Amino acid sequence: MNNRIRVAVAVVAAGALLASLAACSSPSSDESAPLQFVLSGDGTQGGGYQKMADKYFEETGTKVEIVDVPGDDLTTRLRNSAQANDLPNIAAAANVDPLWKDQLLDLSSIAKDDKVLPTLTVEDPADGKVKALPSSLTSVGMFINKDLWDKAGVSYPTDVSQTWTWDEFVAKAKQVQTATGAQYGLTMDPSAHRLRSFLYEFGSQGVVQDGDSISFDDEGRTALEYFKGMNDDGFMPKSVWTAGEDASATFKSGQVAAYYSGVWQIADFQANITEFAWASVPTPQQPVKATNYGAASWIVGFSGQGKDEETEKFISWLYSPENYTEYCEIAGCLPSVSGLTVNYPKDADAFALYNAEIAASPAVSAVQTTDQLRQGYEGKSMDVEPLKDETVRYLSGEQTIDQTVDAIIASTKAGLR
Amino acid sequence: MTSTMQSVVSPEAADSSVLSGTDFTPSPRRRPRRRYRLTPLLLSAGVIVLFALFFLWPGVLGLAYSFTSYRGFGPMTFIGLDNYTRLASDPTFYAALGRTFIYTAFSVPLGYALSLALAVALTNLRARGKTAARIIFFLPWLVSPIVTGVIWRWMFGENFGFVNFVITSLGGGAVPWSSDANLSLMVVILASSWAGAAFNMLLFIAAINNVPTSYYEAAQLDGANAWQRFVSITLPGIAPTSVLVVLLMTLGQMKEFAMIQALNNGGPGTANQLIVQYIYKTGFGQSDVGYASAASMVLLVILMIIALVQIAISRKANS
Repeated sequence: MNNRIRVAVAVVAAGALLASLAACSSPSSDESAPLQFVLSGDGTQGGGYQKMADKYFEETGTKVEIVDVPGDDLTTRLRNSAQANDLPNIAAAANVDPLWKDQLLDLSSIAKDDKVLPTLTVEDPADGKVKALPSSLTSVGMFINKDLWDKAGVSYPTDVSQTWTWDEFVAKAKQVQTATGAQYGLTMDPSAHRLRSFLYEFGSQGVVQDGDSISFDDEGRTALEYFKGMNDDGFMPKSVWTAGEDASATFKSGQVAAYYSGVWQIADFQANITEFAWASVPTPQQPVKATNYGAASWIVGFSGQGKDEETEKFISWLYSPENYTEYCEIAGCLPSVSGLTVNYPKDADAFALYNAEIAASPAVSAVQTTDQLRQGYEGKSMDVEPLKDETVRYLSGEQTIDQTVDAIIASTKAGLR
Repeated sequence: MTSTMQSVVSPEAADSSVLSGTDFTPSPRRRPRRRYRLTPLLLSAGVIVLFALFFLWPGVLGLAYSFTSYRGFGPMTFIGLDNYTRLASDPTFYAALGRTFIYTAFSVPLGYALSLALAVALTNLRARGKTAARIIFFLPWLVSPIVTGVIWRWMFGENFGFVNFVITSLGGGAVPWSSDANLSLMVVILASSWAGAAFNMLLFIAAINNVPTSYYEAAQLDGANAWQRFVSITLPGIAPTSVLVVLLMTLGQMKEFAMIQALNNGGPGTANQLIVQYIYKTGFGQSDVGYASAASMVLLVILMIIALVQIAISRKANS
């Protein structure tokens, strides 16, 4: 009897295990299931998409589930979903991934009807269709801790017509440091996006791809040397770039005179900086007035999930002038659609400054995100950023500037093969 | 029963009747009924399925990928031993591997010493809080490596970490815990030793409790002091467990990933990038899955060699 029970238990356990494994297969496309929208960072930008999803539900009765995942996990999550044949309906992705590029809905008509900015309207070279829409316009810029600068009595430019060079900025920020006891003069997000903007301001074209040839100019080299100098002399916290410490948290501590980041921080600062006053100021130029702007992320709709029509309908609704304007006002972001008047409830001057800097920037400032999108369409995936990775090694003293430039070129070539 | 407990790491000492799930040993003339033969298989079916699904199959796939130029998507072209020849001349791979050995060489002895010291202290503790102390010291084991990394990052953050806050409050200068390669590695070694000590401490407590108290009583009568008793009785008495702990720690540290990723991302720069981070970055970052799989296979061989050597030592210790 005991043995029978033991055998029965074993059989049941094995069966339960197999059943649980079988449950891991892709879910059915349930008609009543909500549209799933996977993105990153909505929570830190006022919950704009969540609010739009709520509004959409009120208007249409269709539920859109916002799945907010950490930025570092988004690409992996979508890849895993694609491999498991379990993609969401919509995503705000950093780029089009070769793994799922052939499972995208055609959004060309939405791009055309809702007047998505031509510079951010990228067709798939294979079929001429627009399959990814810019979620919003993102741009690099400079923030200062206004209280520290005012306390030190150091002046700073306030609009795009007033300029300063990086040399002037560093000198002034050091004055602020000395006068106020601030721990650092500047911090910058450890990102290639921010570094590219910095390079452009030194007159560099950044990492240039011309067919199979990759190049990196002397102006870029000069900019990297300048950047290393700021890290080495304690003007910047070296641990942010070399060991991944949080630049945003460093600035929010109130112990840093300036923060080189971008427009997406405004909503976060409005909500989370209460101890001191901050301000957006023009980015320094050496000698070029430039930023780095493009799509904050790319809105894509996945086909074959059993809800193609509903997905397209929601994206179309989202990009309609009224709804998209509302989204930009809630999330505190620049519109990637032309002809809209966005009334920001707070810090409108900061948004105006970003728009002015975008207008004043050279053509190279606009190409990073669109180039990457084209590469994604072409099946070239490069999740690492050689410009950033090799600069980090340079800052850490692992290699010289010459080795760094060579490594940037070699790694970019390898990544795009 | 005691002998059984002491021979956990000695396969040849395993009692087959215990493993078979029955205390019935069939005579040579009488074959067991079919259901008796199936029971152990059915009972372990779950584990076998899981092992095959999540270890064996990915391992086979990894081996297959290592002979291809697979990028995680697109075509899978067979390229023979190209990935392995590329590895053989890749200085970054050697650097990561070398760093992993250095990291292991420092963290294993430190972790061993720390866990053994805790075990001895908690075994000899006569206070009423003995159980509570064991639970408190075991808690780090329950924390995920990522969380451990984040906690230590907060403690040793260069700009606003607790340790630097204390140092600067006392008038000292901020220590570059993150941006100095050697200090950064030291923090990682300390963190991993602390995190792993809890589980090893439990193993040691169990082993120490299995050493007959009569040995200690006899030694005390002979005038042996505490240190002499520890060296002459405790250490030899827990030798098999020591070997097991060193083996588990070595294999664990050679595969370290999550905690160092959370603590300093292998930084500053790539100064402390270990082999698994290198594999991860190559495979998932650079979409070079074939090449990363080849590196994984090399690591697998290295780990198997280490395991075989330590198992041989373990057998010697047991005999």
